[in-house]
Amino acid sequence: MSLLTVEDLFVEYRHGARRVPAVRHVSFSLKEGECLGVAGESGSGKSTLALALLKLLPDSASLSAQRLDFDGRSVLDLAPRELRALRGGEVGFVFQDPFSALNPVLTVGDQVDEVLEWHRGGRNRQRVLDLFAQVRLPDPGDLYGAYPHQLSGGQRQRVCLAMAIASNPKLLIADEPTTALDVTVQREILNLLDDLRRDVKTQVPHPPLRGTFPQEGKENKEFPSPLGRGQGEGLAQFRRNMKMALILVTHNVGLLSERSDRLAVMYAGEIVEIGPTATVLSRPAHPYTQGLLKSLPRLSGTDRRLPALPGQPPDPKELPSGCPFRVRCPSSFERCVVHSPALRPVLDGTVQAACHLFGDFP
Amino acid sequence: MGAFLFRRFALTLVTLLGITLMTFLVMRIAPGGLTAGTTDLSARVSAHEQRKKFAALYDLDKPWYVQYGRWLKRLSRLDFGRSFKDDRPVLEKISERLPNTLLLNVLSLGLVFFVAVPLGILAAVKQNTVWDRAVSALVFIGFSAPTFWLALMLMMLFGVTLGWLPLSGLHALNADELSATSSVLDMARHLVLPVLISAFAGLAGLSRFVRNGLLEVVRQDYVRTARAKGLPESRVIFRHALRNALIPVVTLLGLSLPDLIGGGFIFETIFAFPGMGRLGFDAVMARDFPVVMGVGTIAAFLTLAGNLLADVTYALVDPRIRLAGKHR
Ligand SMILES: Nc1ncnc2c1ncn2[C@@H]1O[C@H](COP(=O)(O)OP(=O)(O)OP(=O)(O)O)[C@@H](O)[C@H]1O
Ligand code: SF4
Ligand SMILES: [Mg+2]
Repeated sequence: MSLLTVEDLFVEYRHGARRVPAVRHVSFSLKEGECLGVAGESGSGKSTLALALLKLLPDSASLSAQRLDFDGRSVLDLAPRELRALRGGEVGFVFQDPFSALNPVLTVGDQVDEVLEWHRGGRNRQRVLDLFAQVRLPDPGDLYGAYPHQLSGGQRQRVCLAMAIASNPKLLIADEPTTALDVTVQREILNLLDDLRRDVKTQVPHPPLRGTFPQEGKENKEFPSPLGRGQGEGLAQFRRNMKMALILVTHNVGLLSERSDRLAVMYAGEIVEIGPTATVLSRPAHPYTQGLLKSLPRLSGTDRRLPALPGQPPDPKELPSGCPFRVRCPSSFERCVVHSPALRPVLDGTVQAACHLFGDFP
Repeated sequence: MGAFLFRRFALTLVTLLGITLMTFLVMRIAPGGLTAGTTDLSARVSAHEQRKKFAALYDLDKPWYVQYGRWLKRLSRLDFGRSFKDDRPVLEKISERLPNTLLLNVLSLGLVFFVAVPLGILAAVKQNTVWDRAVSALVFIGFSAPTFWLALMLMMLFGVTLGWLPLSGLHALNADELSATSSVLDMARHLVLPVLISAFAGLAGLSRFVRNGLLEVVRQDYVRTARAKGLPESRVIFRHALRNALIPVVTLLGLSLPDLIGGGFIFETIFAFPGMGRLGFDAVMARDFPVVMGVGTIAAFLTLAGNLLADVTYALVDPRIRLAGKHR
């Protein structure tokens, strides 16, 4: 069953009277427990896409989509209260910069506890300490009352992770979670992510706010299952033993090779290629993906910002006609100037790419 | 924290010394010299007597640093000397005026903070709505209308046309005959206009400050994190954003503590208000040296104490300063 379905997602930012498209025609879906890597150069719209999924964009952004469904519900049609139950409840977020993502005047324990308070029926200090242990923070006991500035970057990102998984989400969205960290720490955090994905048992969403948690095995009439699999059954039967799904955003494809099931490559706000990670990496179809892989540092995993390709990505304010990549594309031809290519199945059909080289036009 | 406090305290002492020294020297080089004021001012004390007292008190024949040293020595006994003008102890003259000014300014500062902070929050949360515009309009008027003009207009309206409030002073003429309650009431009626008007400009400035500060904080990453946790907007604002936005406001509060004791001269003149501003100004004009030094020293002392207090509060509300150096 598909956990997340996105069809024709469109986001633009207002700059005064101007509208700047940041994400265009994005469609993809994510299965339960699946890991999708999203790669692309700086400015390609990765963060915008990640935030758009739960309408976390700033007020200056406007969002539209043909379909944006999470777990059978249309995110665009949810009431604000239902949307808040998803945020931090069924979907956890980790952001790029752990140095600014935590509130400097609240203790880290408090900030994690707040998630439990809001989504798990109440604060629970012991559970916070367990979470700290789970993200492998040293001496979780003394950590509850620490302020963010007392921790290192890696430790702060672990706190952010603890916060994101505190309510056993079904989906974790991590936007470049390691970019701001040292190379050695990056690896640890990514490995931790892998382990968490395996260990976190996604659960039936807990009734939001301060409701009482229904007893296991008892009838649960008050909170009918949001999964829509019949009412009144025991809660234990709904508790799924499922890996947490992950959307891992990065501009370093190398980081994704070992861990993502599927890979989406973004360029100028669009997904230009998406498919099984192994296939995309070994036989990249889109000229942009090919260039991106060629420019990859030998030692995969080092997260340095190398210029991926000669030339600059286009200014989203002035996109070229036709294919947005054509200015840098070594294989562009006449058609690329006029028509913008749509995603279509290529090669063995498991991979989709947006490039006229695979078109069956006359 | 301890080291921080000690450093701040030592710095405060040094600054205090510097300020008194400056006042001392400026008075010494004032046109006309110190004796200019000692000729014909008081009927009770003859000019000759004054000059003698002057020489004895300030050792004018000695070099200036000796004079300053002696002045300091007397200061350590809280001896500010006597006024040249009426020979009354300086401390007594100040203690008549200081409570009036303090009362007025505490009330007005309280009004400023309790009104401006909510106004600023309102304007920020309802950015670009009528609420925001209304606050902006208030800010504009507050900044552009001169205080004395505003004061005169309000005095006209409430004092003359409507006759609701007294125009000047702090007590009615018959204050001595009033009972305790009605004399408090009388004082309150006298304070309404001065408090309102002295609060007005501050109100405008601070509400703007709070609004902009909050709008700045709301853009921070940790506010996005709070939203991503699924918290309702009210909690995001009041628990996550406001705490950070108010830290600079605390500093501002500390910085405005000096205003508590320094009364505005023009303002006090308009309202015929018996405050520190007029005392200091009159003393300067009359070259009443001991009073000037006394007012200056006490003002400087309270100012620095206010700054110190602000720093301490700032450190208390911001864990990054309170726990500086305590890394795990
Ligand atoms: N708040 C905003 N207001 C206006 N424009 C924005 C805003 N955030 C992003 N943009 C623009 O939208 C486009 C996509 O930005 P986005 O941050 O999504 O890219 P990204 O792929 O995450 O880049 P990076 O790797 O640098 O994080 C960029 O052109 C950027 O300038
Ligand atoms: S459509 Fe044309 S320009 Fe675009 S990537 Fe394909 S070949 Fe290059
Ligand atoms: Mg980004």
